[in-house]
Amino acid sequence: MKSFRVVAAVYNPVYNFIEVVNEVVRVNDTAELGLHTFHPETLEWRAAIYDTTDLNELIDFVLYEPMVEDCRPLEKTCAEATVIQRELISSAKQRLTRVTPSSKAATAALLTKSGVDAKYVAAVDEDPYEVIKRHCPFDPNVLEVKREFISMQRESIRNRSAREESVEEDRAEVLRRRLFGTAEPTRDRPSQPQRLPDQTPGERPPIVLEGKQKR
Amino acid sequence: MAEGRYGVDPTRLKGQKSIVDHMVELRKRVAVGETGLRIGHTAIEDGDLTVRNGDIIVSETDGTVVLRLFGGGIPEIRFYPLGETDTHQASLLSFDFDTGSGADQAVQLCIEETGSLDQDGGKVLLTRTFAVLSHQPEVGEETYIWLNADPGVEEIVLIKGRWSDQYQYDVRQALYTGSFSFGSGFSNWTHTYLAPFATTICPIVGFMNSVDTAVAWSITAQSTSSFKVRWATGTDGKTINFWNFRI
Repeated sequence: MKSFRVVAAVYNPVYNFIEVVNEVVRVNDTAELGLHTFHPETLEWRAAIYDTTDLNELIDFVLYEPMVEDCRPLEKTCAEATVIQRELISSAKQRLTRVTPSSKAATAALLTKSGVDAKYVAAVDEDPYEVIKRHCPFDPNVLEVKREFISMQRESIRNRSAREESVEEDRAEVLRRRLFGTAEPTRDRPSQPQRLPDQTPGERPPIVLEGKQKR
Repeated sequence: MAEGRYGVDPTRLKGQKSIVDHMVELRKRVAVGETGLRIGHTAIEDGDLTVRNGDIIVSETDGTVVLRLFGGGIPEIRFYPLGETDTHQASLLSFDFDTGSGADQAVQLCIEETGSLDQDGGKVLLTRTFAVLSHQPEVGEETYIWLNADPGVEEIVLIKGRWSDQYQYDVRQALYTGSFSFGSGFSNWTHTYLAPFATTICPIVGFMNSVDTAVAWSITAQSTSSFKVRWATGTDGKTINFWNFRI
């Protein structure tokens, strides 16, 4: 991949999704258009995971993430993950951004030529980041709940090794438990005495509640 | 006093009881009443326990019934945390229609409407031949997982319900599913999850071209936060169906 740029963004009300059109120039100089979709709540989630509320930075995180190494942020502390992600994203952005960006007219022409829907061509006029910001909620109260949840998840992942049983030496015993463990336990329970033939089981007046008979 | 001492009283053999016998019996009864095991002796300190006609009723001091245990052909325990007048109750009941593959030797735990006893909520039904974990609202569709659902074919698992469409509820959900359609002009599609998953998630993708032309395609990127599908030729509209499982 030689270069990457975000060309346009639209909101898709049918799916309630953000659609971002990007252009990738390959090493052999062929250009291709890609569509990147994400749910509007994605920005809030990124803000819950990384230590930033800068919307431009959060949008960068979402848009460049697929092209960089997966930093698996839940397996790291918030501070560690933020440092790593910032480094990955900013270096990718630097590496992939073309020196001279093309004009809006040229971009519109490119989209028209590629045969994409007119809604994407029309969206070229507006800054994609502004379109994304307009359609993504960013509520501090919701963010607080998401932060609390993510912090719980990180804690849980940190303690995971303590929860998982270590492999036992006795493989046969482990195998026996796994293969037969769900078998019926032996119960030394005597069965009830047989009813006498003249006894009708459960013969009692029917249960009546508020004038209706049960079953 | 020795039990046998009065047992051999010759007057009893004639069917007559002396005043001494009555006094002894009374003393015995008083002793049993004072020291014997009684229902509610210590278990219910701030409420009432009533045994009536084979039913056991537990109520609060203000008379609010919170629990009823019924006997009979459909033995049942009903729970009313907010009293019998609340709209719903939880019931644990057992029945046996003796119908082989039907509800034979069944036990059921369910949420019901208090008056009508119509099921309206969660349900666990275990029978001799099958098991069901269900949500059965009085109004609306039932959702269930039914184990051994076909009496004619062993081992059938039937799941009624549907998978969510491109909405992530948790970073630990086992499956993330959806379907997305878009128009012509693109050579690749990237989908970003709402939040990165707690562990590796593996995309299973169904790729549908909107025209009847075979297209070479592949998943070209996957991470805990997104996945990407790219195709070699043809830029017609696509529908991409996915069923991503977390490992």
